[in-house]
Amino acid sequence: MALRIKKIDEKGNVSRYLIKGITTPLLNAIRRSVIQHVPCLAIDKITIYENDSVMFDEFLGHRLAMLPVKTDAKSYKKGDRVKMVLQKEGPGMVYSKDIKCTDPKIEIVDKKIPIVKLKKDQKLKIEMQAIMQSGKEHSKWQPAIISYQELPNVYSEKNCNQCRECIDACPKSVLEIKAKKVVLKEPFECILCGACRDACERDALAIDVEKGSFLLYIEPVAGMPVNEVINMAIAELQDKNKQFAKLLQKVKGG
Amino acid sequence: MLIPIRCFSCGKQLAGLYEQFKQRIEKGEKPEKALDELGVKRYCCRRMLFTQADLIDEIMQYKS
Repeated sequence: MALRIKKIDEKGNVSRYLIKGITTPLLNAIRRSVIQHVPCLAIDKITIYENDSVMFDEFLGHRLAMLPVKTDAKSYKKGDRVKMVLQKEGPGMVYSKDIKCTDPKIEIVDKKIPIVKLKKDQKLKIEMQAIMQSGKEHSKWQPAIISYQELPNVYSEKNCNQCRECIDACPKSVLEIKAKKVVLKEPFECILCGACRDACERDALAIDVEKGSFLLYIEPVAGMPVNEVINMAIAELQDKNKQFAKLLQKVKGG
Repeated sequence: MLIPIRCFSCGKQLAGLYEQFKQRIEKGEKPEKALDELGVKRYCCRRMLFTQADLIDEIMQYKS
């Protein structure tokens, strides 16, 4: 079956795709490649010159490390560093918008993230380095949240009497009756909870998945577009395959 | 103490939504509706926002 990809929708920065004609191992390899091998920026080394806040240095360091940094994957390669500074005096909340970077293209994805609260005369002075690294080291370098599920398929079998019990039981209201049969009206919204099957007194409902059809959810964290993340993941995967083939050649030759 | 930057389970950045969420709740809006409209869909992320206890103001009293 030929591979087909269709974009279902995009809400905020969450995109959903319908992929047909792919197998679980291949799709999962791409997913794991995104999680583990695609590099992005995250704050890693920090020097605290002044911290009068109630938060311990370690606590503060951890919060800074978690900040999603907008990554420019074209000009930054794995291992590259960029400097950032956070300087603020109380009173008030310190937000992610107060972090200044030496490269104007690099910034924190969300400007409104509260970092710490300061009282009057309390000072904060921190120098940071954001490093380009991959998610294999730490999950803060994960460029996107990505998951998939097989496409649900719910249908009634012969002994269905169209009592509508299953339709009322569905928490997502995704079932309907068509030509005296229960069918899935919105397969992308079904969560495979099984409430319809439990509600059926005649045991007439079958919950199944469509083989080779998948729903892919992808939500970029580090400000990179979906295409870029997926392309980089596939490039990494191809690179790994080539290395493996090379090693195999050596084994054969030896 | 303060809202965690990311969801513990999935890693979605949530701290940026917290102040909006808090404002809505204080206005009397239902948490369920506010979370839906902010695009917080997974229950791992939802628990992060609505179980948050802001304690930093209390702790700040004990430091001069």
